[in-house]
Amino acid sequence: MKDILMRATNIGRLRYGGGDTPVPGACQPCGRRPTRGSGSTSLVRSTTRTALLALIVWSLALSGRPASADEPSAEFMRTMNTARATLGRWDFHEADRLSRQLLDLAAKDGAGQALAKAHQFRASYCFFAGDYACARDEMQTFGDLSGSKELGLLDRSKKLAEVWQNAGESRSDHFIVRYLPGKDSVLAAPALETLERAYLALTGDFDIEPGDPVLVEIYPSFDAFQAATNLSPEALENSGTIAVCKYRRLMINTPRNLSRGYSYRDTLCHEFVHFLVYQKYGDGVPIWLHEGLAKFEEYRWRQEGGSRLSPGMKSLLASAIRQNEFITFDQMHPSFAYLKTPRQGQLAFAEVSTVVEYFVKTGGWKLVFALCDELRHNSDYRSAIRKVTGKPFDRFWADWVAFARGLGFKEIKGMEITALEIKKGDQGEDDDDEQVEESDLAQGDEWKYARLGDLLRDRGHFREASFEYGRALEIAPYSLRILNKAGRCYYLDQDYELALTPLYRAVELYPGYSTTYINLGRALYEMGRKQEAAEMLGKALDINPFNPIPYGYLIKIYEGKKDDSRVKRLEDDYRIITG
Amino acid sequence: MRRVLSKKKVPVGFQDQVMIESYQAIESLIESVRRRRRRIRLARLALPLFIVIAAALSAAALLPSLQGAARMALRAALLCSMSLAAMAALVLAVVRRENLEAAALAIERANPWVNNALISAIQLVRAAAATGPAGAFSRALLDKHLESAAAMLPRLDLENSAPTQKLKVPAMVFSAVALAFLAMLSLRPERTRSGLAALLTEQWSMAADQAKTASLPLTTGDFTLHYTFPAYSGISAQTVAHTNGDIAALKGTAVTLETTALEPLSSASIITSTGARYAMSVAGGSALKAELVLSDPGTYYIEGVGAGGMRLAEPRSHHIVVDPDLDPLITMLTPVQDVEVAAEGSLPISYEAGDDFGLSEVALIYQQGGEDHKVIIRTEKESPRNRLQGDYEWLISEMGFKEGQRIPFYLQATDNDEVAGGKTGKSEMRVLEIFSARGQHRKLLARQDEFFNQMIDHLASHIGAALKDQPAADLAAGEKGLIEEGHKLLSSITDLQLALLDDEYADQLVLDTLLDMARRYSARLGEREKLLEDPARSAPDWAASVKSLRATYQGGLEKDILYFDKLIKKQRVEDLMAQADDLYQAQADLADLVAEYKKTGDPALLEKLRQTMSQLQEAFDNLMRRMAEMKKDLPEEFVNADAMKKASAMNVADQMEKLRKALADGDLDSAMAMAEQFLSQMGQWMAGMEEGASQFGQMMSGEDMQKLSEMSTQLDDLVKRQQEIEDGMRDIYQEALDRAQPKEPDGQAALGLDEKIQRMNDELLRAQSSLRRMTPSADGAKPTLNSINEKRNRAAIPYSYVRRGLSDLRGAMREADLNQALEQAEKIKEDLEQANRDATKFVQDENPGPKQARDEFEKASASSSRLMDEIQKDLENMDQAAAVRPDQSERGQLDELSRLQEAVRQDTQSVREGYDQLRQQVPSLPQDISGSLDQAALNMHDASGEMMLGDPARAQVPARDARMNLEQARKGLQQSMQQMAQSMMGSAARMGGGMPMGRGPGGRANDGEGGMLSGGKVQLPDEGAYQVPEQYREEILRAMKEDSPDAYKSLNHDYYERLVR
Repeated sequence: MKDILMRATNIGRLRYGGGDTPVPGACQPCGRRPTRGSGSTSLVRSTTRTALLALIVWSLALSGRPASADEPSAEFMRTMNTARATLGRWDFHEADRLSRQLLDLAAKDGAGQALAKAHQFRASYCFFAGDYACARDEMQTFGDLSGSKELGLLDRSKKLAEVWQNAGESRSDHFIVRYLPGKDSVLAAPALETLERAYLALTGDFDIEPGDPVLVEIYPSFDAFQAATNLSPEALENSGTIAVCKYRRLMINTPRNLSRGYSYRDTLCHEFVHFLVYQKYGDGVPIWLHEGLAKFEEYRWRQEGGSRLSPGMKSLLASAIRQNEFITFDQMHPSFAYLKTPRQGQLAFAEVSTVVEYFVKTGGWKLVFALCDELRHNSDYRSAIRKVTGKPFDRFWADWVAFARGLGFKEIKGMEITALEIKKGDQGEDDDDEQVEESDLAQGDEWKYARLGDLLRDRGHFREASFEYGRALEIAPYSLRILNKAGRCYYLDQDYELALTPLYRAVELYPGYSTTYINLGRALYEMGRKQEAAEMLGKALDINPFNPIPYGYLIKIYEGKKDDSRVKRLEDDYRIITG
Repeated sequence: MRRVLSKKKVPVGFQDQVMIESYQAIESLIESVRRRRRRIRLARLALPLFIVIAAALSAAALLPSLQGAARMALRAALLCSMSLAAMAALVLAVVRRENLEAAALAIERANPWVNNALISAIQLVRAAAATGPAGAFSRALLDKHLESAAAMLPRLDLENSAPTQKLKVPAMVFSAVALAFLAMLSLRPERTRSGLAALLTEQWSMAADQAKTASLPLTTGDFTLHYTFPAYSGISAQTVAHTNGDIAALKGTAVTLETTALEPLSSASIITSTGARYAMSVAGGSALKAELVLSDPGTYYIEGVGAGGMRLAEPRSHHIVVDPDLDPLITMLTPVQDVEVAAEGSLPISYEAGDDFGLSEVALIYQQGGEDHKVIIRTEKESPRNRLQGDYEWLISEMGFKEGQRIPFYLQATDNDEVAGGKTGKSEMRVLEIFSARGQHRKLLARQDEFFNQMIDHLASHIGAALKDQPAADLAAGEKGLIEEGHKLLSSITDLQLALLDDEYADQLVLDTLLDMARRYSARLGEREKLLEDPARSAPDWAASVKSLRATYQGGLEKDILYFDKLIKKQRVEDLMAQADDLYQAQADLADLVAEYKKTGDPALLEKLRQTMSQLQEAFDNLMRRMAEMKKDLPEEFVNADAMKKASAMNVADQMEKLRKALADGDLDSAMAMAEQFLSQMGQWMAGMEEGASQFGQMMSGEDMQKLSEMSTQLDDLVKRQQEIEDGMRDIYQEALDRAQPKEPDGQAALGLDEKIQRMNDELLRAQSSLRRMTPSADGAKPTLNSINEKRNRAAIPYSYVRRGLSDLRGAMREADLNQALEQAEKIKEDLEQANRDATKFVQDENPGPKQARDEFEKASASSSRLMDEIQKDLENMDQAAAVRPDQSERGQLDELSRLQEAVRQDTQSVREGYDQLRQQVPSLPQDISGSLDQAALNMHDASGEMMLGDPARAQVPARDARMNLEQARKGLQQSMQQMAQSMMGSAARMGGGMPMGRGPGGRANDGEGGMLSGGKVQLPDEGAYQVPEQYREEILRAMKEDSPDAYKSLNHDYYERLVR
């Protein structure tokens, strides 16, 4: 049922920021322009600004009034403001110090309200630092002292403290990966490897070091992820957000939460780009540029750099260029998550990624950084662009369109906009492709042929089923599911050579779909092309390491190569995921 | 049987085969002698035992003659002797067992010349097997010895080794004793039987006998016995005089005994063998009288007190024989074996019962829940009868049995024995299985699966054939195979259709689809067969034609597979939803109870609440179990739907437990809150499940349904337009008709008509004349002359009336009043028919002569009838010719109407094409709608043509027919839409389920339009719409008229037969 699928696509759903800081505006990863172009956080940022303004006015008002016995002193309030700003800057050491100072000041003042606020801030600090038990205790103290019943942070802290009660942690030089012991432990090593490689590349690109190790949390459920990010369940469901950079940490969902996993390694790199951009430029960078940079650099952990758009995105962009129908930067505001369809989301990513590419190609990274610097002080991205490129925005836009056209992307009619599927219950990734459903049948004759193919295949008439799939592909040559059905059917018919054609096409068009890699890997394995098979099956595991099928093949392949260490690692992981 | 020395027993060194065989021969022979000797010995032990037993049994015949100690002593002696003899025989048989050596020695005793060769052979072989010094001798020596001993064997005298002589005397003695016993048994059977009974069964009591022995003998005689039988037996009282005092009667019979004693007595009593004492009245010192009621068999004697107080007793006892009241017998005549009956049906049972004295009751006993339940089906307490036969209709519907239950049952007859209480007899047990229509439906669903697989295999065969590039010869062979396969499929369709007719839950869409498939496949296979038999097979385009027909066939098959796939999914989901019926009910009950409790606070409701909770949990568990069983068969999208996933998350058992605990703890507020929350959750879940199920009820896409709806609207419009054309034409016709008034016949035609009237008049005269010439027949019934004349005249006279009518017709014609002429002609025709009928009857009844007159009459009457038809037709033609003469303006209007008619025709064809396209997607849509539309178009074409020719009269009929065809098509379409709408409305309702409306917090209101097209004019099915067999019958009847394969014809025939029945 397609309505249970998240609408955004794999990369399209990636999102940073959020809007739930206990001190409004204190921890937004990037963007500053409240009025336009600052992405998913801008909505909150405007609220943040208003709240900060109100806070200052309130503080000034307090300082001008004689303090009552229960009211915080002016010094306390000044320190509190500083502490909040510090926390917003992700300066956790200073925030820690200031939170203690606030507690001392409140104790010295003897003001009950001040003490409550000091504990509340301490709770915020603990929450930011990922110490949920501490946050929970501090919030309980705050609640007791203030009598406040609005304790959202307490509920979240309680939940997360429970989730991470027995968390496992793996560390590298610059990252700490936190996960739930058990199946998710297989993610730790690849995640750290990815992040260290990204670190090596991206800190150089952006010329900034994060300092203290960055905490990465792999969430075992959407429920816990929702508590951590404070995004509403509806927002998560509608936007398909699966990863967030917030509170100076990266939070991602385990691929286990999706039916067929997702490219979590690219996602980690993508989020780390957000991290660095925010750390370097604060919240001044608008959403389109933030996402453009993250998208442009998300494969950086595995290659030299540059955009690598999927064929689907290329097709969408080509179509948009032909029809001159783009998603404008303003439409991208306040968040990609608010774009109406996965198609719009993917097109937006394609646009911003190529915009960054355009900047890099025309002015180098220097131009990009200059723009980011300019945007820290100039909330109008149009004038900022004019200033750093010397071109009015319209001219810049026209040049970018010409640049994008020059990239030679081909429009592929019939390309599917794929979406990630949230796993329900104990459903696992099937080595089979999806069944043709009633809703599919209404889409067109290709699905009728596909259904006939399924019926024939399920009864062992593989050649005949292939014939029907062939008819389906004549109508819908770019259908991911039909390509996989055709490939798998040839595989079942032991005609491995024929299986390769549709499967390679599926990989080329839809590189984020793990099932294709498995089908391809199995066919290649049967053909004796074990090196290629290992490559494909490895890619499947990069997307969904919880599918046991690739392990068996890979173990056999590496046993053949006498690569004992890899065999052992695979066997260990296999035991973990099937345990 | 030859005993073989097993290899294991072969001693060391016995590898030599000769040695083994020699020893085996020796041992085998000795063993055979030993067995024989053993048998003889056993016989010698058994014969004395039998002698003792036979003697003892013979001696037992003396027992009735003895009393007291002597009797007991003899009994003891006899029993002891038999026991001792048996024990001795047993002991001897066990103790005195002979071994192999003893047998060898016995042989050697009878054959001294053997010189211990046999015993030596055995002992040497045994020694050879032993270790130590005993076995230290030459194997060669042993070999030689065995060989020589074996050589002696054939010469041995075995008869004397085991002589049977010793059995002779015991056998003779036994024979004599046995003969004596048998003779006694046949000569004095009563005595012998009594003696045997006394020997084996009598109690070891001497009280009565001791008493007797202590008395003087009493002499009695001339016993008179008055028997008063138990009332229930219905036997009249009887008196038996001059007996010896032995009593024999039915248990419970009161016996008055009268006798006379020789010795004078002051008092007397009857003493029975059981020790009971009955006082006797003594009259005159010798007349004794007493009454006793028979209960147990045995004996009695009379004792009394004589003169001087001396006790006297009869030395010999009298017998008391008590006849038993036998158990009644009952036989279940029907059913003759285990039966299956629908839960709402009944089971006819017939039986036959009998008893020696009378039956009081017949009951049906059935077992349910481990307990017997009794249903009295007949009582005869007032007037019991010995024999009963009857029928009983067991209303299963009133028993509350559930489908699938197996109920063992039998009949029980009770007799009227008031003494020992009613005894019962039972019939054989049968098992009643409650027919499960649902179970049957599931079986047929499985059959549909099989059929579906067959369809797919058939498709695979076609694709496989298409994938091969075959030369013409192979193509023909392949085509033949495919056609044969197609016929098998057709046959399966037939079988499935027939099977589905017995399925209470059969989906009409499935039946319609199968019907349609049968028609199409039959036709298409026929085409293919025809092409296969085409003599011009070598023609280059033959292969192309074959492939083309195949492709068409395959295309249809593919569509059918997709549609059937959907149908099967739909039925699976419906089947599951039907399982939810109990859950709906329990949920609604719980909701009601919660609401009632909240309103009244009545604590008595709490127990009901608990019960309903258990029912709900059970219903839920059953549903889950069924879902688990069906998981593979259900559509994947249904199984993976959110609602289905939430089932386990609900954890009903856990919630119910909490609810129970809250009720037990008396925390009623919490319990009610929990119940409401649970019901709400359950309601949401069920609503979700229903929603998921509803999509499988949609056998047409919304788009297709919309098309159907649009077609219906178009047909409405077409009917309206056709009606307008018809009305317009009628107006023109009427105007032309009015203008033609009064009608004047065409002159030339009138002349022709007049001539025909004249000829007809002549024929009538000829008929009358021939009738009047008729006389009684020679071989007739000899009626009187007067009577025949009377009948003849009566037959002839009506022709005069007809002739008079003709005269009137001429007059009307002369007056040029065509209308009157037409009316007159109508009247004449009626009169003529009547006259011919009467006259013909006269001729047939009377068979008058002469033949010539009869022949002439027949010719004349036939001719007059023919002429009358012609006259009437001519008049009608003249009428039409006179009436329809449209003027210029009307011609113009007719042209316009003709154009309109043509436009309606084209639109009709367009609707038909659209419908045919839709039918390709939805085979269950009826084909006859296309036929009606086709026929309408043809009629419109005719009407249009007539209008173009300016003949509104002739155009009227086809125009009207066209409208009727359109209306028929519209009606068919609306019925189809109702049927489709019914399937879209959600299967649960049809399957007897459905969410209760507005029942408590978990309920979901159903507005009855779920899944319907918004704004579509789909009507809800009316009551008659569910009586599907009507339409189906019509289909089949129509199909019978068409050319169809044999198998299909038989289907039709069979179904028609059922309908007729």
